[in-house]
Amino acid sequence: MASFKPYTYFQCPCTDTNLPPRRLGESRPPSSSSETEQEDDRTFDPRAPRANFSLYPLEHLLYCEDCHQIRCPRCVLDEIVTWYCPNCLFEVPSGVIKSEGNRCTRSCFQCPICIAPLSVSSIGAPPEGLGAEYVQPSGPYVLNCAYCMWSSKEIGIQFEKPNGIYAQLSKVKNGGTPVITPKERRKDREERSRDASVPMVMEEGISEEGEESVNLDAHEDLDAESQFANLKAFYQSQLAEASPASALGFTGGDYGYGSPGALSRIMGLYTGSNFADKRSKSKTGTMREAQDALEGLQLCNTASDEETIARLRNEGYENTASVAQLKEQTHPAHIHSVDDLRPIAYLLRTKRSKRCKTCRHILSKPESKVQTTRFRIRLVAPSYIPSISIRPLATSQNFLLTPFKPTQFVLTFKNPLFDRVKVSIATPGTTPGRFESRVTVLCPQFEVGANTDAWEEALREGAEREKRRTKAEASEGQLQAEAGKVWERGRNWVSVVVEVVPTSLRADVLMKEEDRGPVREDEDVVEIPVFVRVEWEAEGQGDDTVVGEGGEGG
Amino acid sequence: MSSANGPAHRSVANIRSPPTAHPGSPHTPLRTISSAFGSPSALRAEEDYVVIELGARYFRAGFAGDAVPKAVLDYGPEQRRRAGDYRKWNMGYEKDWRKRIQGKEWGEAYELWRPDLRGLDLGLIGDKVDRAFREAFTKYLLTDSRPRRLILILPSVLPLPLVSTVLDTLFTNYQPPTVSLMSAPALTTVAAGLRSALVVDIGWSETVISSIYEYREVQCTRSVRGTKMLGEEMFTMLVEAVDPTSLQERGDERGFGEKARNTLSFEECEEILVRMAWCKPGKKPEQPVASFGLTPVKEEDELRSSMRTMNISGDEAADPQISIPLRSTNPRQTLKLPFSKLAEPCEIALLGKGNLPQHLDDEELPIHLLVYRSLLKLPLDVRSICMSRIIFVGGGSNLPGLKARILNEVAALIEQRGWDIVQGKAVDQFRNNPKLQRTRSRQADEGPMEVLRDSNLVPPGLLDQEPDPIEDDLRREAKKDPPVVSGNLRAIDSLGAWAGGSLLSQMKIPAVSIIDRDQWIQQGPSGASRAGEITGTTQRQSMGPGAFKSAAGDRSSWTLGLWG
Ligand SMILES: [Zn+2]
Ligand SMILES: [Zn+2]
Ligand SMILES: [Zn+2]
Ligand SMILES: [Zn+2]
Repeated sequence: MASFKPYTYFQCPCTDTNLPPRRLGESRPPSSSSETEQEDDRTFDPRAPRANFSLYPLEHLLYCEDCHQIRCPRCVLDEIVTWYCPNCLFEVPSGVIKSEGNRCTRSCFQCPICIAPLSVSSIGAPPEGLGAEYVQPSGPYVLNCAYCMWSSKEIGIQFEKPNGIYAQLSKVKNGGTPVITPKERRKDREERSRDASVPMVMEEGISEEGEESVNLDAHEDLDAESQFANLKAFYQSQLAEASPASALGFTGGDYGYGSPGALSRIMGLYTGSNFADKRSKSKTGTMREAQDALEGLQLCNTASDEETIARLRNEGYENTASVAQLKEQTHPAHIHSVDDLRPIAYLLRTKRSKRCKTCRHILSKPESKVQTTRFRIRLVAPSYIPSISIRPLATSQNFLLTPFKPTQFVLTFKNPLFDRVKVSIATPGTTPGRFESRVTVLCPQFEVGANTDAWEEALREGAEREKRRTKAEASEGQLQAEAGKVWERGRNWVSVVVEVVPTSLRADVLMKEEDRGPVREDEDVVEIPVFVRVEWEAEGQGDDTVVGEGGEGG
Repeated sequence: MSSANGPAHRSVANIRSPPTAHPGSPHTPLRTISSAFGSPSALRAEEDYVVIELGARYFRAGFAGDAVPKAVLDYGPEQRRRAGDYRKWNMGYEKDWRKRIQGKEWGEAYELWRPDLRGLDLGLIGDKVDRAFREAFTKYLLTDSRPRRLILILPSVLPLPLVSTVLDTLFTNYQPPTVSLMSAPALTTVAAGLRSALVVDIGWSETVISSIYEYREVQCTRSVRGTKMLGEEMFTMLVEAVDPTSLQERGDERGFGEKARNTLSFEECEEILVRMAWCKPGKKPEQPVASFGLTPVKEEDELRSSMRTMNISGDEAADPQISIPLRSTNPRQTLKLPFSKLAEPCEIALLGKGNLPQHLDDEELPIHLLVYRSLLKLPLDVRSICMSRIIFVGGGSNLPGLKARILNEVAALIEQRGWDIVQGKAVDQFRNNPKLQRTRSRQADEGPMEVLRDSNLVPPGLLDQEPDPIEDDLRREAKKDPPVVSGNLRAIDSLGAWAGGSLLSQMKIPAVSIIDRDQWIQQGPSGASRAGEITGTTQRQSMGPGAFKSAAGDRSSWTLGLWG
């Protein structure tokens, strides 16, 4: 904790965390000790587990000018301006997002071992002879990690072309066996259903002619995607078979056994009633279950488990995939060894504009071009809400607090607005939590001057310096804060002094037994909830309330 | 308000469009398609459901129609940091893990909820769900905030306060027009291509076995033996290997003492569990279980027997020393453990090694015994269907070798005891009292029955012993189709509940428990009809404000189904 930096967080009023809902403009008198006593249970506790979900650094917040309220990610609405790949910076149209999903479908991959970006390189013999330098290196190609030196060769995967790696990779399993494409599976299904002269729903994307038919194994071990596709086709054909009248949809109200309604009897169990059964008895036509892999049925393959165990035994810990590596995989099921890991296609990102959830006004709107980080509109809270910073009063002093020794801190409010603001602050007498430190604000109410333009500021700067000293400091010539007086004042900022009497962090002397226990993370930091109310007048209206929270440490 | 004379404010105020207009005011040049809510993904928002599965440890979310969820998130301590808290990236952060131990129990900081609701902060659960939901949507699903219809998959025995908290969070923060509730075990069955199954969910705080017959949950049994207990045993084993003295001071009941918990971090223990834990094959039943399956493959059998012999030999090759590098211990070290030792936690935690079954409470049964008991309690026809459709899901089912072992053990139990040996009074009653069976189907709502003591569920319309046209149907169909496999032990792989929800919504099958946003906001959980009330008698229902919206009269009354 040698280099502790005091910090401030802001709570967005949209949360109901421990605080009674406070409406805009509701006033709250500055705290006196007796009132604080009463309001103890209403005090916001920055230590409460829920507090972390509602506290934000000021820069993370937006501000709605119409609602006069700060807006956190919970109280804004997002609209997507553009989707893009963070690696190749290509913009991805929404249609592609819908059909291809949330990953870059070009050649952008992360290393499955260390998540560093992978690059495509040729492992073919370099071209020789005259003009060789003008010739593209020939294939085959592999994905390489420059950081940990992993290569797709390790999982038995090479590529013919240096581009469109995503498509090439989707056609090959680790080890090099080709994947049976969904198209091939579909074709096979159609052929089978034709042979069996069973009605079959045509699936989306009618198969093209001239495809070579594959003979699928009814006992095949399917990957998740294929099993899902087979199950889906199976259920669709069953539904079509069972109730031809509603082949392509649910007719509604039909709870007949074997009809789509039969599946919705899954929901029948939610009602806990038997009505579905009664009706079902009058119906005929049964929907059967899946029979083999072609219909999505997968018998549990216990042999693969034994293989896994044999590998664990022989190859040891180092060759197993870590939890973090598995987490990055899109299909982590049944992966145990690092040899089963797949390169990770880059997750796409979005640029979003934000609206106020209450009044729908736009609060932030980025430029749509991927390459730029500029915004067209950005109403960030620091341009509207006085920033609050905290530092020890004695600059020479160590940041670390000493138990039971009163220590004074300077709380500085800086006004970004071009109007004067009236600030009232209140703190509980003691900080919430196991370790209660006493807190006193020496000056709970004050005014902060208006902000000015930069050039004006430059002109005034000389004069400004003189004004800074308060009477207290000037007359006594030493650092002594006075109750009810502002500590320091500038053109658009004011500092007040807060006195903290830290408690001891000895948990073993606490009164309540359940409180005892070791000092947990961050309990050695004093966090003070400060209720801040800011009022200003512009064109005869407007005021604002914010709950701020300051932290300081030792 | 502060419209004063500052450049920043002025510019902002000027480009502001009136509330009713789209942002396409002259001052904000826009791309043609990006008007307020007319952005390109408009179609998807209307068509597509988002499927969410909530479990004690993980949050899964994705679009209906996908095979796997796009986001699988945990609720670990790093998920509950403040915004802008980047200490995770600080040097030496990992080393400080001891300070971050939270909660009284081992692993408590990593779970969303626990079966025991006492002392649970429901607001915090709402916050965690909210954050996971937001992260899933912005980072993985890449969607905007437009309201979307949701399918919410829940364990079938989640207490109402939790269901209610989750629904509150979803409805208030994300405004979905509707939320459809679905039960995980039923969907697991769907995602295996089956209509009936014995779903063995080896979850975090408990193992829950649901017997699904014709998509209905007819029985539910549980045991506290889950992956948490497995983790605790692994932790004990590892800590003992690192520092045998640290286990001497034992915490209250099951917990670990301070010293033990400071020896090794939860993450590292779980890492080792995921990577290295395994389950022994156990004794081989006379009739090998694998041969029950439809596809006995020759090579697999050979492989298996060769591995068995390896097991028996017991020399260094069969039980090598495994080196496990530990980073959370002080100092770092490399642990050397015999490979066989890494199978021990599973033996103790899940299979009840060292405990005689008769000394165990009903909720402490080892998993194989729980499977056997569950089957035993089912009526004959349901049992023979379910025993050939055992589905293992949940985190614990990933443990290599566990599924085969449980099947082996169950096969041995069947061989040893058959189905006739009555081991409990409850089963006795059940069998000797046909009245009980008949009345049940009629009075499904009258509270738990003594028959199924383990069951917290009222099994809706459990068993109809009368001649059943459904059965007749099945039989008739059997002529047309291959015979229905039954009567042998067989395990089936399911894509899991999430995929089941995704499949179902693709079939356009409506859930009975569809909760309308307006109705929930105005009525809350108390607005739901009691299970069974909803049948066809919509006229009786009071006309809630939501009723005017829906054309179908049925929607004026709604139910929380299983969870109400
Ligand atoms: Zn907010
Ligand atoms: Zn890319
Ligand atoms: Zn790498
Ligand atoms: Zn607003």
